[in-house]
Amino acid sequence: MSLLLLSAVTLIKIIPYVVLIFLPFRKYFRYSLTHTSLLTLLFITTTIAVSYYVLPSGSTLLEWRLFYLISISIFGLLLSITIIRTNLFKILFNFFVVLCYLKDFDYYSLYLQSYIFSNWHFGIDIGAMIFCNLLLLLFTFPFMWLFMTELMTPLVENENQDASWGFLWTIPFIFYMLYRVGMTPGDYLTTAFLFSKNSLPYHLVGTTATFLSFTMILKMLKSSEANAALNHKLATADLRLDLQRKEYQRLTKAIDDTRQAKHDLRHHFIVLKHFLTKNDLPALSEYLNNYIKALDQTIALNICSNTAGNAIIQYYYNLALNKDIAMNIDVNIPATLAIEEDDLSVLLGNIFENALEACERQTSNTKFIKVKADTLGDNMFVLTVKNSFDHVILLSEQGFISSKRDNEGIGTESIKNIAERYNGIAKFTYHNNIFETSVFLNPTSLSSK
Amino acid sequence: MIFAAIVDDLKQERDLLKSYLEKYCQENNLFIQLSIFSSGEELLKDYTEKYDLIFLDIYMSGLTGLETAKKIRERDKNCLLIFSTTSPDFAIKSFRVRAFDYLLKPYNFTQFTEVMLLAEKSLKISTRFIEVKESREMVKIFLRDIIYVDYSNHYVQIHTKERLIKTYMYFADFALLVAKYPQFLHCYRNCLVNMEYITALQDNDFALSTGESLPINRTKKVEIKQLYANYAFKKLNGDV
Repeated sequence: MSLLLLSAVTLIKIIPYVVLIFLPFRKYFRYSLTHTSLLTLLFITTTIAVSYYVLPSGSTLLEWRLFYLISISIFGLLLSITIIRTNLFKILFNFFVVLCYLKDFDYYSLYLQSYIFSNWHFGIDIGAMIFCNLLLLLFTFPFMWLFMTELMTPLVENENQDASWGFLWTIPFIFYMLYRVGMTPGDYLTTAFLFSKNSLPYHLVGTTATFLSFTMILKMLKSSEANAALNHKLATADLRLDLQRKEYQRLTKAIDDTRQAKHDLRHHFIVLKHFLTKNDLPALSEYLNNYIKALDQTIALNICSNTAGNAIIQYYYNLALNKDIAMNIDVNIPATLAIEEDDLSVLLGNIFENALEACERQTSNTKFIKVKADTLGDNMFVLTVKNSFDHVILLSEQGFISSKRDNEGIGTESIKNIAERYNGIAKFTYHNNIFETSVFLNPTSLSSK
Repeated sequence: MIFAAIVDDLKQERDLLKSYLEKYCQENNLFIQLSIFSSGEELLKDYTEKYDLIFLDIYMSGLTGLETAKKIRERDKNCLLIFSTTSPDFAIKSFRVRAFDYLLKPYNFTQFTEVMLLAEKSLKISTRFIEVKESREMVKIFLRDIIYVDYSNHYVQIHTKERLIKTYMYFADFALLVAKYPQFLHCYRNCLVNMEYITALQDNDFALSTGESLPINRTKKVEIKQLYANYAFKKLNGDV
């Protein structure tokens, strides 16, 4: 048995399967391409070397088959587990699918060989074997390739349903075992049947059944993942809708306030005119003084150089003041920030609304809100808001349940959403009747809405 | 020993602050060497960077508190600056001189104590150091000077602004030395970074203010980001 022929046979019998085992995981190699290729090459040359020494010249076909089967089983599995870095069960699923292909392939190759060359025996005819293997590969490998790239690859790369693979892999495993079970070395009867010409229909049905099952399973998994993705999108859309509703409410309130202010102003002017026509200067002066004093209550502060930040914090500072909530501000928000004005406004708005509402619901005395913000590094931004509270905080799996309405706390969801969009982190903690909202934003040039 | 300075153009204010400081030192067993100036120009004349803590009045005739602070910062990036002002102008922090805190006039002793406590804490932190053996001698390294630490050829390499210090020890043992200080983050195998020097947190590495980059352990990316954010929060809240 020349080494050359042996190598040729080994290559034909091993390479297609190794390729199929690795194919869906091509983005998950632990090592570089060169390293991986070297390892695979090592595996192949070892197999060739071992086969040279282990298979004596007169080995039967069965012994050859057994040898290659064992090589691929043990070493192929070890190789794939060490080289590929992903969920183990995905690797196992794929591995046994390939093994099912392998065992069927062997039979069909043998059948073809006997059909074309009319020599059905267990001896070795290398040329015939190589020819039939290549022929069969030509017809079946494209399908397997498609199976791997179209069905397996997207499912392997989707990391959401890793749990299902835990039991899915047992299916190709069982299909494979069905074939091996009962195949004791001494059971010549079964062996004879399984490798005879008469068992062709049995094999055809078997192959169809196994691969049909595999395809169905993977298609179902694919649609279930698509479903999950859609549900997630729906939830986000719902959240956005709720947020818009909230913004709209704020807008209508602002419009009402403006209308009221105009109305009040008109009233004040009427009163002043009245004093003027009556030439009652002292009364006029007193009226004006009172009004000015009232206006002074609304303190316009220069809190930071960022216009949006300044406006929002000022607004809530005044609101807090009117509700007897002590607000302590210690912020540095520059005029140019890598965070969009809209996002900053929504973020601050939500945090302050939550803080204010918590304080308002308080039954005890000390109500306070402490705000701190600063930039960090080149583009990063940090913000913490502490507020007093004494109500019971409700939690659900997903996060805070708003104590105001029955659905989930939209405010905290929105805050988390903005933090995520800016590669950051939002943290909510509470201890000793102080609730702290901490937001860390890390915008890069790739951050988008 | 803390070196402090007061800069205010009103004698009343100077005396008041001095009395508060003295009272605080007595109550807290603190030793301070105090220098008093009636204008920014006076402080800056013959200025040596020996002050740990400077109280500056904002509204002064001549050089304002802010201008004085800018000049101070040109020479000393580390000293604590505390402004005293009459207006509740919250824009103090954005003056770009890294003011530590501010006192709103008129302030009482309690308010002064609050600020002083924080200042003391901050000074204590900035003087923390470790000692390691370099060649045959023990060297003292201020924690605030350490940019990052890595490991090469059995030597732990401590990168500071001035130089590289090599000390022969296991990296794990060095990590123990700084384990209780919150500003050091284990971002990669055998690599510790002082988070104060981080300017950007990118996908796979940290960018430092020196221009260098340090890699981030891929499997622990999420955890490391959380740790960095937590440190940022603590720092903002003054818990560091």
